Amino acid sequence: MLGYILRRIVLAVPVIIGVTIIVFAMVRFLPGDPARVIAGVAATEEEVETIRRQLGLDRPVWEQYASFMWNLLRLDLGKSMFTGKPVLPQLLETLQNTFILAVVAMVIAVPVGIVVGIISAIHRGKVIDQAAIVFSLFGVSMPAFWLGLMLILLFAVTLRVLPAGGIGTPNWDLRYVILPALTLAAHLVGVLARMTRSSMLSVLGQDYVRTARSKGATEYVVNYKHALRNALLPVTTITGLYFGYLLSGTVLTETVFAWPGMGRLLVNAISNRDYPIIQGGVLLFSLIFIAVNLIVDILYAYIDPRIRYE
Amino acid sequence: MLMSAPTASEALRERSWGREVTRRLLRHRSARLGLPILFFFVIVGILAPFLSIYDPVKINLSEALRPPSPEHILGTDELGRDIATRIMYGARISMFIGFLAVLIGLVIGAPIGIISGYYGGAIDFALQRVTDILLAFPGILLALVLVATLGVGLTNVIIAVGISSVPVYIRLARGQTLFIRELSYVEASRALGLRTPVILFKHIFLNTIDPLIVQSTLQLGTAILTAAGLGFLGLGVEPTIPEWGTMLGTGREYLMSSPHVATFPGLAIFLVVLAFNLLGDALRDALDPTLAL
Repeated sequence: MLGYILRRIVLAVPVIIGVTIIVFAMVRFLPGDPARVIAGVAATEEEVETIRRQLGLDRPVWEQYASFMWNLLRLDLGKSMFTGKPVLPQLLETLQNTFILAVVAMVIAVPVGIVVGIISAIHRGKVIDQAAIVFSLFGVSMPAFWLGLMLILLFAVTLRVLPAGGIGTPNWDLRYVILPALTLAAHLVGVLARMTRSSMLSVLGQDYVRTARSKGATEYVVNYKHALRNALLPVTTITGLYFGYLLSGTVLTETVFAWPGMGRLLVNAISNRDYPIIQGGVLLFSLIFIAVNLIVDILYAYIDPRIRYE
Repeated sequence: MLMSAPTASEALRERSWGREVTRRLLRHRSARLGLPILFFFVIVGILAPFLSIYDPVKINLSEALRPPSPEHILGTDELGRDIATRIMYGARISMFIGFLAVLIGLVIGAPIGIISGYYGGAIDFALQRVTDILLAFPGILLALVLVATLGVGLTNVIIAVGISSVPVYIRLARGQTLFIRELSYVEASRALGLRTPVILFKHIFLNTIDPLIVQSTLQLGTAILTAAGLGFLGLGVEPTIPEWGTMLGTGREYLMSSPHVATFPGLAIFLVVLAFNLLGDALRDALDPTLAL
C-alpha cells in the first residue's frame, strides 16, 4: 500500500510542474507585448517599462520561471495589479466561501443522485425509470448559469422566500447558500443518477446476484445487500473525482449569485486582466483538483486491493 | 492478394449494418426525442433570414425590453432587437462553435491517443503525462485559461473550447487502441508487413470510429455548454454576434424587470444540449450490437 501511495505521489509531481509551467506561460504568451497588454492601451511607455520590470519580463525565460517557482515555494503569488494587495490571502479568503458552496452542493447531490439511480435501476423499463432517466438527463444538460437565474426568478423574485444573491454578511445565513448550492448540484445529481443506474444494472446482471436470488434471498436483500454495495464502488470514485469539477463549476454559479468565492474572483480578474490573481486562482484550483484526485485514487486502492497490483 | 479490397458481399454487409444502425437509432426512444429538437434548431438556423423580418444585429432603442407580444413573440432585448430572431441566428453560431470545437478536439486528440496506445512505452508515458497536465484544469477552467491568454472573440472561443476537449479524445482513442492492438488481425497485418501508418489508420482508427462518434455527439453538447458559459461570463464572442450565452449574460442585468431576455436564450441552450445528449445515448445503444433494440 505504501509503495502504491508513493508511486501515485511521484506521478503527480510532473503534472504539478506541468501545471506551473502552463500558469507561468499564460502571461508570456499574451499576444503582442505582454507588458503592454497588461498595462492597457492608455498606459505610457514608462508605465509599460515598470510593469515589464515588475514582472521580470526583461530577463531570460528560464530565469523568469526559476524566480516564479522560487516565489511559489515561498507562497508568494505576487500582488494584485488592481488593488496592490497580496494575491494569496485574497485567494484563501474567497476559497473558504467556494468550499462551503461546493460541500453543501455535494451534500445535496450525492444522496439525491444515488437514490434516483437506484430507484431507476430497480424499476428498469417502468415509468418511474423513464422519469428518472429524463430527470437525470435534464440535470446533465441544464446550463448551470441558466438554472441559477430561473431559480432566482422563482424563489427570489416571484415567491420572495430566498435571497437572490450574496452571502448574507456579517452573520452567516444558511438561506443564502441554498439556491447556489442547488444550481451547482444539478449537474452532479444527473451524473450520479446515470452512473448509479448503469452500475447497478450491470451488477444486478451478474452470477452472484442470480445465486443470491436462487437461494431465496428477498428482493430487498438482493438489491440492497448484494448489489448496491458493489454498485457503489465506481460511484464513489466518480463522486470524489467530481469534486474538482464542482470547484470549477463555481466559476459560473458564483457569478450568477454574486457569491464571493474564488470562481467569481477569477472571472473578475480575467475581465480586469489582473494576471497575478488569474495565475494564482488557476494554480490553486488545479492543485486542489490534483490533490483530490490523488486522495481518491489512494482511498480507492484501499477499498479495492486489486487496483494496487495493476 | 491476401488483403484484398472489400468484396461485394462485404460491401453489402457494411451497407446493411449502416442501415441497421439507422433503424435501431430511429427506434430508440432518446433519439425520437433528440432528433426532432436538433432538426428544429438546424432548420431554424438555416432559414433564419426567411423566417424573420427583423435584423439580429440592428439596434432599435425605441423598441427596447418589450415583453413577448404578437410582433415579437419572445420580446426584445435591451437594444430593441427581436429575441426570437437572435435565437434563430444564434443557432448557427452555437452549432458552428460546437462543431468546429469538437472537430479540433477530434483531429488533435484521436491521433495522439492512437499513437500513444499503439506504441506504448516511453512515448505513451510522455504523452499521458501531458494529457494529465491538461486534465488537471477541470471543466471550464482550461477554456478560461486559454481565453485569458488568447483574448476573447469567436476564433479564440472555438480554439479554447476545442483544445479543452482534446484530452477527452486522447484518453478515449488510447483506451480503444490498447484493446484493438492486441487483436489477432492487427498482429496478422503486422506479420504481413503492412506499413505502420496503414495499420494505424485502416485497422485501428477505423475501428475506433464508433466510440468516437458517440463521444463526439455528447461532446457537442459539452462544447456548446462551455462556449455559452464563456459567453455568459462576458468572455465569449464579440457582443454584436447573437450567441446564446452572451445574450443570456446581458439579459441577466434585466432579470428583475424583463425576465424574458435571459429566459429564452437559456432555454435554447438547454434544449440543444439535451438533444445532443439524447442522441449520444441513443447512438451508443444503436452501435452496440449486443443490445437488442
